[in-house]
Amino acid sequence: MINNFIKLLSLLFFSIGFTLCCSAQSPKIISSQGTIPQEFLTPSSIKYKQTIEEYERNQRNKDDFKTKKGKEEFYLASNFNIDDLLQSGYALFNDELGKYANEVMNQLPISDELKKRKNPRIYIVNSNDVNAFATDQGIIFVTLGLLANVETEAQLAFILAHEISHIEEDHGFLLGEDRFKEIQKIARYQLPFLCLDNGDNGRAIYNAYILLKKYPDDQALKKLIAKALYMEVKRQRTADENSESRLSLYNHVNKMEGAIQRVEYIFKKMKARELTVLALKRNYEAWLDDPEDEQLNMAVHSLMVDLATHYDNLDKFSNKPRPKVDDSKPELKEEIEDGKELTREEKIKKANSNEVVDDSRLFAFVDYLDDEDFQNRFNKAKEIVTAREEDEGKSRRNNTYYMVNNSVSLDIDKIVVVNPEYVKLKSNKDRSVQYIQSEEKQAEFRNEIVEVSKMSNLDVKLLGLGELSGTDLESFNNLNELDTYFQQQLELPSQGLHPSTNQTKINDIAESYGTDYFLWTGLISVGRNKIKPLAVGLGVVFPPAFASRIFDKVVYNDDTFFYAILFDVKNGKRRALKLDFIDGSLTNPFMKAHLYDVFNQISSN
Amino acid sequence: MKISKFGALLILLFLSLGINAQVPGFLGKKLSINLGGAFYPAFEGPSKGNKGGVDFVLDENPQRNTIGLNYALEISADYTTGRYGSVGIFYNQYQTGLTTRLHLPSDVSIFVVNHAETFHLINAKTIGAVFNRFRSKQGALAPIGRFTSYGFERVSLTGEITDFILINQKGISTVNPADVQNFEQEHSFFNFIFRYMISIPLTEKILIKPGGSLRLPFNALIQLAEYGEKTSHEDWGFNNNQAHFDVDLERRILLHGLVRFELNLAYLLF
Repeated sequence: MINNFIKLLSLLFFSIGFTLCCSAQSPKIISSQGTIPQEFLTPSSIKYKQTIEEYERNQRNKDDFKTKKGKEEFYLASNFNIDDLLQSGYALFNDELGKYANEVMNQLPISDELKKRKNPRIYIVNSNDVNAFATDQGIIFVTLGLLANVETEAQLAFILAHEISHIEEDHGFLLGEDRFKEIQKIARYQLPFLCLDNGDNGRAIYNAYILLKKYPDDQALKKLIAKALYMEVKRQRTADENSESRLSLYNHVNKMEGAIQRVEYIFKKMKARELTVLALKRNYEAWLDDPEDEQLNMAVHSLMVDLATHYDNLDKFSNKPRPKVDDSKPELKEEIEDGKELTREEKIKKANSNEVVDDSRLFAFVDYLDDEDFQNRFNKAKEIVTAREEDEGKSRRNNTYYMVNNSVSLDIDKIVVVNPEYVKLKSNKDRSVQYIQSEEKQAEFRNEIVEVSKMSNLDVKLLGLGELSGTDLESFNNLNELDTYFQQQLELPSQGLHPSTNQTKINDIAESYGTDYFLWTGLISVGRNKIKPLAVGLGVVFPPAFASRIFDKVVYNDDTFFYAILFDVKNGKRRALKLDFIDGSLTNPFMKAHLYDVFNQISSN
Repeated sequence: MKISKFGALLILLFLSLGINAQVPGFLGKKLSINLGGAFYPAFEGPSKGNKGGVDFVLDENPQRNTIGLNYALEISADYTTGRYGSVGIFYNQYQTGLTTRLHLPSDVSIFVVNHAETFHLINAKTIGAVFNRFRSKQGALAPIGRFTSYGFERVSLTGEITDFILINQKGISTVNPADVQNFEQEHSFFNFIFRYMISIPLTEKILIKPGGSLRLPFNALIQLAEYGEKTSHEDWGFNNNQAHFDVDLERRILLHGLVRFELNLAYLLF
């Protein structure tokens, strides 16, 4: 009895200590560690060939023709899709959560035969979805959202068991609930950051607020809320720029469930200027707490410009605190006008005509409205807005996406080309992506980049998965950060400077490569089933044309999209060097010529 | 005078050279020299060596409405002036034939009509300039890809009467052959050129350019409009030989080489 009491006491003591420890220190954001596993780097086509060889060795002769074709198609799509996920940067390796999940799995009774044949292994997917799924290659993907949402280790074990072999046994306590809680804490802490990177700003804010209750002094979370508000403002401005309705951004709100719906609903209902004021307030306060944060500094500047588009001056804002309002419900008075009592309908009309002014935003900057720095920033932003309006009056050309016919030199010495892409699609096929051809073309495209870079007067560093080895973890992580940056920047308004949510990391990456200029380029080729009369005529006059590859040209009419967008990643300036919709496919010499054109525009002559 | 006009046009065409900023060319190379040939159906009329119809047979009337195959040899130079534009100058030459009837003065009687059916071997030397517009929507980037050319050329023709038959309708021949031989046979005119070609890179320095062109003889169109109704030689009297020759020539040139299939090999210099 006494022993039990002591055990209980020690457990209680331990729990209190643990809780104190939790509130004192926030978990770290997890990322991939160590050596990049070989399966992340092996080209998908090689994996596909290996799978087919294995299939041929074991089972091919037993299957009929239709089954064979079906299986080959499945192996093709499966290999390429899984590799897409592995190489997307969302799949983590050697991270704390992954290691733990693998350890949990190893506690499960997996047969030796299965271990030998499939080598089951788990990778954590950096996604806020709640999901886990297994692949025929033996990989089990567990999302971070799932780890954050399962309440006990047993639940996780059950899911893993389900994924591995549909084990129906209950696996109660495998590695210890404490360790599980620790893992869950990490996963939950990472969730809002992930939501922010994925553009799910409402969810990011909601999750961050919940965590702030646990870690009230966590600066990272406060900054995150500021960033999420900033991104939401920018998202709305992009919609305005593209002449889309702001409300269309929130079409999904009605279908949402839970408390997050309220956050999104508030965004929907807030006016653009109200959201701008709120975002600026949060960002400015976060910046005051950490003036060294260049990213916040840029965000404040950017939001200040937005504020200046809504307000001509700061006179509307109060520098005195809001007087306390009596929260008690006012008594209903009989309204009398011209000695006559108003009817109910008249009351409603009158109430509608007297627009209720929500003036809370006018007290947003009470604490620092008189600060010289705040006012200077606003005045500077106002100048920018005025200059921009004048420019728009002069020319309707969008200066960031404007491309001149005769190229001009940007006088840049060094750039980094990030993960050049070549995607080949055929619209008339069930599976539109031509995986094998895409990978082949991608390799050719990379080679052309290397070759052309030698000809041009430009120092080009190619950063792509094809160039990485197992020890290039840093480059692998950089690649993922840059991809996030690129996706975000495309969603941000084209005018002005807008830092991305991972701007600090991006600045460090720019420092490490010794250049601020990063180029995203690629080709998307879409084959359409469209018969060309001229080509058919050729076939009729010269029948061998049908038998050769020319026939392909007769049936398919390729449309190609070639893009090359150069970013000055530190200040968000971008320039579209190529956004060409080409009627036809581009052969290698043409690809080369266009790449040379791109590099030629960048380099200094 | 004509040369100076031509020069002025040439200057206008090359004005765009000075405006360009940073032009990519093909992997940095902008100037190319081209060697090529044009093959074309030569409508109507005979020629020497079967250039433009059947052989001229002295004993028979020349055969009309026949088609032969002629060729021209060309040398040209192109300079890339923008991402989607280039200018070029060219020189080409070809040979063709023309039969026409020369009316000759008679010293016996005003009612005696003498004339000569003559065959002229025509040497044409052409110099011209074109502006090439590359089609960006089809992935072209000067100087490679599909392009259309607009330009003009000045054609200098010199004729040489190599064969003739003297005809006296009354059976009395009083014509001196020297009268035929001394006939002036020099002529020049302008053509408008419209051309569609594809420039395909074979190596980093060599391009092959197949295509086709349409040439509209500016002078011929005007003269045909003027004299189109008066095609009967008899109506013209004796002293209009030059006019006869001109009209026949313009008509011949208009039909001859109206459409050409061209094939050029370009070498990129720098």
